Amino acid sequence: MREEFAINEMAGAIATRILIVEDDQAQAAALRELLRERGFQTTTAKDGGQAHSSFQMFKPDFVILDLILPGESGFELCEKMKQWNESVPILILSEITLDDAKALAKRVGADGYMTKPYNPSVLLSQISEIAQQVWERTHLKRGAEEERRIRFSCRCGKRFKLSPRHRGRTMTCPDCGEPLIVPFHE
Amino acid sequence: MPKLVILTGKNRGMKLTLPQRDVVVGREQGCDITLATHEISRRHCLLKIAGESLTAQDLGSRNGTWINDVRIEKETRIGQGDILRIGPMLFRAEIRAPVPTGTDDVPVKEHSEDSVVNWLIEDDQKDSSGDSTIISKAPDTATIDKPPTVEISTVTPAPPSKKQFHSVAEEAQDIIRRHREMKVALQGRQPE
Repeated sequence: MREEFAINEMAGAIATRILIVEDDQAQAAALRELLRERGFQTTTAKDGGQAHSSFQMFKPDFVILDLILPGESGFELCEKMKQWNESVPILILSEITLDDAKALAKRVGADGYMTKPYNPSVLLSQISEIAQQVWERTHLKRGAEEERRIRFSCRCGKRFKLSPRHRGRTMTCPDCGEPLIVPFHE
Repeated sequence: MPKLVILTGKNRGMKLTLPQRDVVVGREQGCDITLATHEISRRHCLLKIAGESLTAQDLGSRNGTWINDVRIEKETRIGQGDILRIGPMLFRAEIRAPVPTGTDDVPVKEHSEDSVVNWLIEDDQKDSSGDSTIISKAPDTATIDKPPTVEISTVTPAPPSKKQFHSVAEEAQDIIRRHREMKVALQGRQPE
């Protein structure tokens, strides 16, 4: 019990600065209020451009990301953020319930997916849990991960062996020019 | 016998001959036609087949049963060429002998009962990886008052996800579009 408490405390300490990417002002305000009450520092962005600036300036250690945004979608933004800094956990918070959305979110690197309307206590526990998982993945298991390689092949038969760091990234097959997404799972 | 031509998924163009009895379509195991997608309710709709007559009745499904883009509220007759939509699956009804249309955008592959059975069995054995899968069994023996039919037990469609996308942006737009369509359909149902 004591160990469990200690882990939760550590997870809380891992995520303290949260970037909220949400174009709906009312929803963003409610989320900001909830998180501030729990001691998190927050900043909000309403589109990809603002999110980019905030990501660089505010240096969040956790991102809550909506999917339907003006201009660039949350999926594309998630992919970019993971390229900027893969150790920042991203939790998708969206009204989209389609399984395809969850699958794509995973492919572009999202660490969690919650649908709206959300239960505040579930959201808070998800933040803690995801922060913990990503922290462990990036700090404790990096050595092991580095040794592994993702193996996959293009439809033309060309085989690839890439570092797990490239998971979810897009690339073009050098042999046939086919656009590819580096899979999350082999 | 009434037939349904599948208009979506990898089995697009295939014909299903409906048995001469009531057929429940839904997500739940045990339905006569199981469409394993969350857009389908556990017991979605009931198809009643009697001779050449085919009717559909919604069983209180969340996303509704539609005939020619009109949501049905009560037991509704399905006529020749009508388009039946159940969740993401589209079917075209063939009530009588096939009428050569020439304008159809979906090529219909004709199948004898035996070949449909074989196709269904072969399909079952393939690794369908999420696309439409139909597992079927044919009646062991035909009776005089119950003509031999292909009895459908499982259909597993996910046609939209099988599209080929060239970028995350393209796939994202498709997902958002489908989400909005689903939302509009749900909103249209709220005044009931």
